[in-house]
Amino acid sequence: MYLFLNAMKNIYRHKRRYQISGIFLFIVLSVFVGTVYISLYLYEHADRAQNNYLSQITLKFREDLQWHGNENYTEGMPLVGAADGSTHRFNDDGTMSNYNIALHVKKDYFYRFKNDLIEKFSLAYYEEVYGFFADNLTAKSFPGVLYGGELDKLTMYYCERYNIMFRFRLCDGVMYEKGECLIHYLAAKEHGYSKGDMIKYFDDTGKPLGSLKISGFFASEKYDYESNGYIEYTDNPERENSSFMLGSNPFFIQDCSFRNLIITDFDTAYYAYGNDESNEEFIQRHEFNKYIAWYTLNSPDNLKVFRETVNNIDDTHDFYPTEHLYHLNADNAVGFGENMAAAAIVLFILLVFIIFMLNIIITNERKYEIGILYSLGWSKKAVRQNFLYENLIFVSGFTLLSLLSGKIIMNIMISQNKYFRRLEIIYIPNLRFLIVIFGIVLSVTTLAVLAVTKLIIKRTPAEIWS
Amino acid sequence: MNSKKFNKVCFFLTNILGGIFRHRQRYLFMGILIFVVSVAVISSLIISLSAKECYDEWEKNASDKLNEYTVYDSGYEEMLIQINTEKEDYKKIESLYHSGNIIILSFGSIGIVTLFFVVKMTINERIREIGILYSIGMSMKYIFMTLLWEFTVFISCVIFTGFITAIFSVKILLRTDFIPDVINKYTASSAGVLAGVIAVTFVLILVILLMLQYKFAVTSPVRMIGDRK
Repeated sequence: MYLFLNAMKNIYRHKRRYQISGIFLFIVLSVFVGTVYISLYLYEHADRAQNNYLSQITLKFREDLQWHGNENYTEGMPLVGAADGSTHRFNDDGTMSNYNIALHVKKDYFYRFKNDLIEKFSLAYYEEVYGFFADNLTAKSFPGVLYGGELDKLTMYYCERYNIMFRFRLCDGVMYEKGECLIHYLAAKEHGYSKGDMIKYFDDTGKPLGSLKISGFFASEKYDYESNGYIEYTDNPERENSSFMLGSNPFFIQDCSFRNLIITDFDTAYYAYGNDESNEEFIQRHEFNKYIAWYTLNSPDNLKVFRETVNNIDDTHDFYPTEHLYHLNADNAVGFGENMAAAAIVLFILLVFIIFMLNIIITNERKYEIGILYSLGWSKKAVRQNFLYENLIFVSGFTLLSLLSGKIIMNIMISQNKYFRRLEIIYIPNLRFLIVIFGIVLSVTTLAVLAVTKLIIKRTPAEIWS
Repeated sequence: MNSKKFNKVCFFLTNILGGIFRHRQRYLFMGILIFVVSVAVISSLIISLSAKECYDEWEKNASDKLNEYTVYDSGYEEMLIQINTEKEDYKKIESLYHSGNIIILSFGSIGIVTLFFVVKMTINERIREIGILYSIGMSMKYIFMTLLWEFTVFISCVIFTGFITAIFSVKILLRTDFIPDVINKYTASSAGVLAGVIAVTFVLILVILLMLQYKFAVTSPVRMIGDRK
């Protein structure tokens, strides 16, 4: 108790020295904790993005449908991503001859799904086509579609810009298993389907392919059941009949920023399946290895019209909700998180060193005091304990403050970064982490004080004073 | 320069070096601290700034290439392939580019705080000495200049040593997979980093000393001497 009181008194006596050191320690620790929080936050963010995104993917093809016509595909081959939009057609007898296909992203490859380059330059290139969706189920007709209007222009624009497909959300029921499917909730409402019902599906020739049990319903954003359709460039009379089929949007075909991509579009899948062509034949015939985004447009003039149309759209329009950023930034978040983790490791080493040096400097500046205490008859142990308690009290106070302010530092740091400034801060500091850091700081302090006092005490008071 | 002035300068320099030597033990600990911090700060600055420079240039080149071609030009596809292939190499640089600001902010703030600590702590421990010098008739301006150049010479030397070590560290890091080798040619900007760090150091020392000079001007030497516990 005496030593503790003495230590408190000493801290007060040396308040100026401890003030400077305390501020130093406080800032260094805060920056370190902030950096660790950021990296943990980014990893958590990426993880959430992945789960969030995957939970919204409601349509996933069964393997037997998915890889039709694909000679190269074997079970377990990485399926990176695939995307398509299509439509529904409900026959008079209540069967559905086509249904929507959204996308299939294998979890392991999720992070590769998007990147800024694709976003920025809206370019795409497929590297390897292993197979096609069984998109042929959508048949070759698009009956009863509605005009999308501005929404679809925007959609197309973002489709081009981000090279992205639309998100689908499971709004009722469960993800399908083998032999099951999900249908759009509006389609279900319109046709009176409920969970557990069976739907039949046919190919475009009317040949029945099988039946699927409805496991749930999905909803989609910006690409609803009704919004499939054509976009007509009516501002150009000569192009009145030229159309761009959103339902089989060729922009969807180009999501090719990675290897082993499986892509399809309406025509692709139709020919691949319906005509029983191999991929190679199909690719040759359709010149699939060209920038397919443009191939349904008839001429460069159309392309020009399209570009003008989309260029007129306000670039700053916040088209997608915040969740979309999770998707877009997930890839960045991982790379970012890795860098921040590396920075945090370096900072940790630096922090340990700084705390060590700080304690040595503080104690060394008071070596004359040690000499006096020693000459007054204090034992080595008492002198050592006195300085140890003093430094421990000082360090623990500022460490606690720093740990608490770490989150604020993180907020400031994140607000400086354009990619993460819009995201909600979701990371809650982990108590175990704080305790570990606290423990490390105290251990380093103890080590430093013991080391320096031992070196000083080794000498006689006269030697210390000289 | 006449001999009187020369002698004055020599005396001033001797005084600075003498001060550093006299406080060698203090400066040794401070020096080690600054050295290690400067190695970490300068390395991170070099890597982050080089990544930025590297990515900016590549992005500009890619953008120019894309603008040159239309989708109907021959070679368009090859160009896309090339950009996509390069993109894989630049993936890590891109993430470094994006996280660069935060890393610079983290390490930069630690560097500045360390310098602040070292200068402030050293002066704080030498208040009595300043008070004695002041009381025996040395002008505050002279004391100020002595301290300024003492710190500047000492810290610049340590930072320069740290810079050399940082260059070697970066070179070693570039050999590993952690940082892409493509960044290598951009480390030329490191000379700018050194100049920037030393300039910041100088300004920081100047600011701290100006603050202290103001404080000393209103404090009597007796108090300064007696203030030291």
